[in-house]
Amino acid sequence: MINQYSDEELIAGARKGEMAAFKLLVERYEGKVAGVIKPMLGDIPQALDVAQEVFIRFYESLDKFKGESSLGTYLIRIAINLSLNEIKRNKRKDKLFSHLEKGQNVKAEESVQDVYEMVHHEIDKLDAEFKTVVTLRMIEGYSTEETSKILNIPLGTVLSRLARAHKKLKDALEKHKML
Amino acid sequence: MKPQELEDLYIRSLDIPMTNVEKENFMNELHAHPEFAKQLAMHKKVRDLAEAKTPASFGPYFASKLMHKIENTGVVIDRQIFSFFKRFQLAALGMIVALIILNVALTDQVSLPSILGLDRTATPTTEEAVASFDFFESLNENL
Repeated sequence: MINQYSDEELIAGARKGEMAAFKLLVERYEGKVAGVIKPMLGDIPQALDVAQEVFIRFYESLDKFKGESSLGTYLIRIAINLSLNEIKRNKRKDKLFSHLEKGQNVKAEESVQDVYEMVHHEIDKLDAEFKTVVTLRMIEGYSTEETSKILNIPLGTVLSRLARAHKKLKDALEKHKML
Repeated sequence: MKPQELEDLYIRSLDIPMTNVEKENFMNELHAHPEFAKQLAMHKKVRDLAEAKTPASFGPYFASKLMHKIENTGVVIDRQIFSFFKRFQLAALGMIVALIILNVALTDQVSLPSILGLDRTATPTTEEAVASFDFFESLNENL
């Protein structure tokens, strides 16, 4: 049933107030939104709130959505912006409570045994600008062109950020003797 | 080619395929310096490990929970109010323009305050009339 209608048809229905149409859109794009938010924010309770906020913002701006970019791209852009806001908020909070959380971070690092987990743990530590590119290109598998379009940055910037992130990840894993 | 350039080229090739010339140079360099092969293989491993193992999800009830939240926190009502006013915004704008045109047509003095109904000289308020009333002058006039 979810594939029976096009995005345009479901958006038109949602604009008329058909909540079932909007629910189908949520079901269709929940995975894509989760694919961006989860690596960006990690396993924190706020990740779910951010995901809900993405769709609430979309619902509120249904009339403004002109379809210039695909709905997937539009939702991913909202997800990235809200995730970056959340990261900034968390950084401020971390500064306030840094003395309390130092011990916890060491513990988290020690508990990472698996090399897959370690890679994702290191991705989590990257700066936001690198993390967004890594999330879209390396984790979710968007092409470099798509990544550049979603983030609205030049292709060269995507490639240079990927290269720098790659080196950081490789160095970190070498340091932990995980590779 | 310096080792740094070789590494950069390899990382880039994970996103954009090398040209034939680049590929040839790369292979020649690799034959000349086989010790780099291990370094480059690590990058490939990083790329493979970064890829998501399973599709991400917030669970099977995400959509239902979200719809419940939307329907119960006033989001739907806010949107309905917005849509309602949006529907009539053109009519409201037309009405304002019509009123201004009517005001221009009916006024004697065509000035901005009179068009906007702000011209106070035409009809003084009661307070203004009382304040400007000169009792002695009116008495003399009546005599």
